[in-house]
Amino acid sequence: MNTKLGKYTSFNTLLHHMDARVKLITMIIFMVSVFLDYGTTYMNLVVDLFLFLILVILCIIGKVSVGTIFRALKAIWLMIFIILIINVFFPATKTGDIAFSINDFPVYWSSIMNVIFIFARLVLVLMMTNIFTCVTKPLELTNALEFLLFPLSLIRIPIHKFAMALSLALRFVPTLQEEADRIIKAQASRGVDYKQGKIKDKVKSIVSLIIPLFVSAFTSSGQLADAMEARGYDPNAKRTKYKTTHWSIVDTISLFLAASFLTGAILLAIFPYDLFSALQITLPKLK
Amino acid sequence: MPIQLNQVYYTYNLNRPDSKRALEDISLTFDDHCFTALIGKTGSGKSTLIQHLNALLLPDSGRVQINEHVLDFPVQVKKNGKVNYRKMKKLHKKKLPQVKEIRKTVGIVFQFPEYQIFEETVLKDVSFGPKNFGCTEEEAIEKAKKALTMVHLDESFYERSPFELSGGEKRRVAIAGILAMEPDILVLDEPTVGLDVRGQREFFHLIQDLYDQGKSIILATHQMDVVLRTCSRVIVLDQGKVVLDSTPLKLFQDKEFLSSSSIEPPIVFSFAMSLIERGMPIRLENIRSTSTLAEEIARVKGGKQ
Ligand SMILES: Nc1ncnc2c1ncn2[C@@H]1O[C@H](COP(=O)(O)OP(=O)(O)O)[C@@H](O)[C@H]1O
Ligand SMILES: [Mg+2]
Repeated sequence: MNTKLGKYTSFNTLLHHMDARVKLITMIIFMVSVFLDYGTTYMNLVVDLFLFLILVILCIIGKVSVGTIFRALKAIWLMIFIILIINVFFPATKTGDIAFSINDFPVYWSSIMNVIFIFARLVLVLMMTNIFTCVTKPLELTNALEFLLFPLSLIRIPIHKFAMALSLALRFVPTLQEEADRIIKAQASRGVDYKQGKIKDKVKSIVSLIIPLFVSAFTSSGQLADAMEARGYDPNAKRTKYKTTHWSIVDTISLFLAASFLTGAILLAIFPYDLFSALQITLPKLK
Repeated sequence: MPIQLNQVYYTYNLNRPDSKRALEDISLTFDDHCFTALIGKTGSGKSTLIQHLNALLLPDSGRVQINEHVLDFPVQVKKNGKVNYRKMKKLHKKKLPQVKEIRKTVGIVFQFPEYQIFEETVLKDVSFGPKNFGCTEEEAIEKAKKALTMVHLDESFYERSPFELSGGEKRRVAIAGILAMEPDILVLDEPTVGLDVRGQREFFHLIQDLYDQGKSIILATHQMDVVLRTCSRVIVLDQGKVVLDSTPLKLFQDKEFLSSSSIEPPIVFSFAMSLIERGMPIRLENIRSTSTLAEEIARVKGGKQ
């Protein structure tokens, strides 16, 4: 069994020990910087490449498998292909340089660059979310989310209730996984083959998994509610934290680096700087 | 020999920081028409071992043979003497067409078998197994009815929803679901957990019946009185290793082993042992339950049998 996409694995690394809030903020900053516009598609790709290098370094620091991420991309090849088809046959602009022609049908550089650009964004977003969830315990994630949504509580939105619901949901993901594992084994013993068979058989085998899974999910949620009530859980009470987080120097440095990165990104977006024309490199015109 | 395990090793989450060795160098043979108990503390590897018996889990390395079906994962060694993990991984990726046949031969009843129930009627749910193994609708229904009779559920249950049955009845439906596949070898993983006393008694009667009909039984359990009463062989697991392979009679007399592995012999047996210590010439090999103990005492005292 290899590591699953986005599944927290407990390693003893710098990233695992960092404050979840810093990690969440950094991820949001990266996310924003991916979606900022830096003037030209080429410049966007340059920033994306820079970000990609940072993320690879983070993968190495946090012992996150880069291979798993790229294996996950297999699932979206079809999507990329469709985007490619649409972009080639219905180009957004019919100006700019032509890369090549298929039977006199011109394929523009801008179409190709667009697809590469979309692909790059997808990879980056997938990478950052994956790194984040691989090095952050689900519970810490909820706490971080609760912290960042704190302003909402000023306008009387009960965020701690949401946070509780979210942490319970996350808490039950592994339980459900185990449960599913157990049911799959029980049904496999009854001759179910989840991989082979006709479509009709496949549907039946999925049903034989889903129904018991729902039954047990409802049972355990009922039991959980009872157990929480029995221990005096009051949704309206003020909540305290069992685990206090320790702010370390690494967190301060990381936050500072992330903030500088954001500043740089915003400055570059407001005052576009065309690296390629500055270096006098000519690339195919896109517009 | 229907089931043979050779140097089976298994580790959960292999190559991960939370990896856990669950089976270590297991070599066992289960003969035709055996009644074998599998005992050991929680976490000793009973369930893991059981899942190897019908190819739900495949050994990391080692060989499992079930009748003529062989699942072989020999250790692959590089020229420099180190284990070739790449090659081992490749072995595990190969398709195993014999798996279906194996699962038809070896039926496993899991700890909470009612988890497997999903159809809207009892009869449909029980006939699900046979249908998967290629029976026609009618054959499957026929087998389901037979299996339901075996677990003492009569016709009034056929069209009821399994979800509205009591816990004990649900479990019987689930077990019928396995019996309907007519496996030659029945493996049970702590099957009576959560049943009431009567349910347990009925259940063990059922297993005894199945054994008498010629099926092989492999039973993981914590109930030593059941082991004494029904099993002819007992295997003790500890931390994924076989530490004893013997008969209940020998196991329960081995005081040293019992105390070191914290197994408690059944009360009937301890009682018989203390009677012997006090000079009563009881034949231990005859003791299997309270009634056989009473018979022995009566025999010794010269009373009526
Ligand atoms: N799905 C799993 N993932 C990781 N470890 C497991 C899993 N199932 C069992 N184990 C571990 O393997 C060991 C053997 O477990 P198991 O075979 O269930 O023992 P038993 O049935 O005797 O209680 C235990 O230490 C258990 O923690
Ligand atoms: Mg077990």
